[in-house]
Amino acid sequence: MDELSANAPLGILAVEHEGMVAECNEEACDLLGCAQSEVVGEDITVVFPDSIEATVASSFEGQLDRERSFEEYYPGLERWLAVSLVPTAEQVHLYVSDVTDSYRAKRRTERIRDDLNRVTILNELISDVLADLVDAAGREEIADTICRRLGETDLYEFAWVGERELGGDDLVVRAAAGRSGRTLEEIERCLADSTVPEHRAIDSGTSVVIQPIGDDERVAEPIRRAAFADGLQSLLAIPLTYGSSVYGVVGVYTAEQDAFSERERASFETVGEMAGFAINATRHRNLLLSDTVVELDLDISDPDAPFVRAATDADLILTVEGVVPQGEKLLCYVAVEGSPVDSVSHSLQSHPSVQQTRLIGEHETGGMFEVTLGARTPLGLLAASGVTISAADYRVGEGTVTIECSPAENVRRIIDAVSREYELTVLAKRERERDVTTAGEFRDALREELTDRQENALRTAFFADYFESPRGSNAQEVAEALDITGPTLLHHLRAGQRKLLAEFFDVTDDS
Amino acid sequence: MTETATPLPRALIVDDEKEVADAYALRLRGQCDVQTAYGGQTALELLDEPVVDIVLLDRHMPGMSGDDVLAKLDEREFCGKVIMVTAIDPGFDVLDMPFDDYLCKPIDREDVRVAVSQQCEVLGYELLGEYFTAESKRRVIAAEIPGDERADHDGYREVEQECDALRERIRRLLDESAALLEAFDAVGREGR
Repeated sequence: MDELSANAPLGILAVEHEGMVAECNEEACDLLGCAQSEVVGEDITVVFPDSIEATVASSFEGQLDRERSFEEYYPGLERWLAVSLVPTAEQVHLYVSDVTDSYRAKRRTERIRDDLNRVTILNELISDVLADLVDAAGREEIADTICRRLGETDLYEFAWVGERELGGDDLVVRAAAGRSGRTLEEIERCLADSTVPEHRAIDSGTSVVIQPIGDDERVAEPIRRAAFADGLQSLLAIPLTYGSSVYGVVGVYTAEQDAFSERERASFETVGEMAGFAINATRHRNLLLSDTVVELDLDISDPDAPFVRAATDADLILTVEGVVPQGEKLLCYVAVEGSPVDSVSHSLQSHPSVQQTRLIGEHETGGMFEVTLGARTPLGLLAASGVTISAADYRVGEGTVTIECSPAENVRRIIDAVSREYELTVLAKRERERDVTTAGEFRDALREELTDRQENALRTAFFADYFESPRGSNAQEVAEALDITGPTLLHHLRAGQRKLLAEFFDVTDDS
Repeated sequence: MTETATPLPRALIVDDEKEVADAYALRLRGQCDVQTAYGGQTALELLDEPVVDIVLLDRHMPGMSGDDVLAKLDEREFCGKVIMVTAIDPGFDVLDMPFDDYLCKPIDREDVRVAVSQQCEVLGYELLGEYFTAESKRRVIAAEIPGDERADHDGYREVEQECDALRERIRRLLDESAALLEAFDAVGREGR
């Protein structure tokens, strides 16, 4: 072989027409993975590796009368080779080069393009879901919308929405869509044992990704089996959250491997938050829009309830004047009738479910406390179930709580949520028309309360943009306008604001 | 290419990655008459005709997945065995799975040969059972219809074709098929 061919960066073999290899260069030996001595003198069909198409071998079996070029995969070498067969009068020349890298690059490009398509489709899908959520009228519609949108695309096999039963920790399937196969059946069967991945999402309030499902030991085996049989590879469980409330969970299942990247997970978390927000909004809308409300009087005299215990220990009367939910916690403003008020705070502070107490004010006949209750108290559980606590009164060994909820609300479930942990009896249930206060009535009621000086101070301050931010006028300027001192103005303003807010929050104000 | 006198079981390897499909195909050479398909759609076309005995099916293919192909095969009442090739190993036995066996990538050279030969044997015996039933039926009809009328008898022709087709498949699937078929033929059943 001449020097030009011998040193070529291309595999070259010269083969007799009958198939015997006459000579070959070093590059050819490298490509074929054998020594020169193993090639020269041997039959090309034996020396050249196997491919499925076996074009080299078949070319020598027949008459090779024209040039042929092809690219084939050689599994034995794990390489793609580009081969040219050039017949001359005496011999056939083979030119061989390795094109594996370009094939792999092509494959990679295809994969990236597929990923990109997927992301585009997903983004459209998610914006559709969000648009639907805005219009959803109720909790069930929200669950249906999410399932339908996610379960009926080609991206995912199926989706289901689970919600916790109000009376307990068990999840129930609220909606499902797509090819749920045997997997959802097994999920339903396992719901009572809390071994479903969705449980973890709802407990922690954060999304859970499991991929592959088949060999993740944290998933109950019957579910894994069914998922494997159904060809499911990845799952994502997203909690439906609003603030610290978790309203439910969506489970999304797909046949794709490693389907849920950090990016997809983040997009879905937004869906979970939007859905939580929408569910929360519909609950309030139900309560606000209904003309009637259901009012329940509950007897919660369980000695373990913090306020019952405090009233008993101190032998005083406690009245909850208002409550403010703060995430899992509940802030209660409690009026104490009788003294000493210290004994109430001692009792409350020693209660494991009371996180904090603060004395707001004390007078001869009693005082006012701010009490931070944990979630697992009677009032905490009631507030978490979305009802309005309208009154709560406690005396020795006795507690009565009045709640309001929309007629659409399932009262039984709310009761169960509390009675699982505390003794509770329903004393009375009433359905009544909602109090409707017109703006005019509100103004009249307020006028009766406000003194002329207070109203004047409020009006002047308001029109002088004192309440704007930043202030249009400061207190000194408003006071000068009214020809009073600054401290006097602030006194009137505070008194006026207190009355305004008391009327707004519907609290009787005796001062 | 090897030309052998004994017919080989027919296998179809389906994988969207040509590199993988070709590697399996070469591993099965000599054991089976192998075809390859690089997509679900092509696989279904190849499965129309002639009869394929064993399908090695990659589960995760873009477009039409292995599970989709399997569903189509069920619809068509495919009479062969399907070995699913998956990327993960959940460590389950396959008794209640929708396929006959599964292998996990990357597949060991010997594993694929053993799995295929096992399925060939299982299929061979299943078909042998069917053959025995069909052949008995053929003999009952043959006893009732005179030899010169059989060619025109629809029922007889149908069962005869079924017997021939089954015999042919059994021959390529079971090593000891000749002995089994002979033993069956040797039993006198006509009672005369």
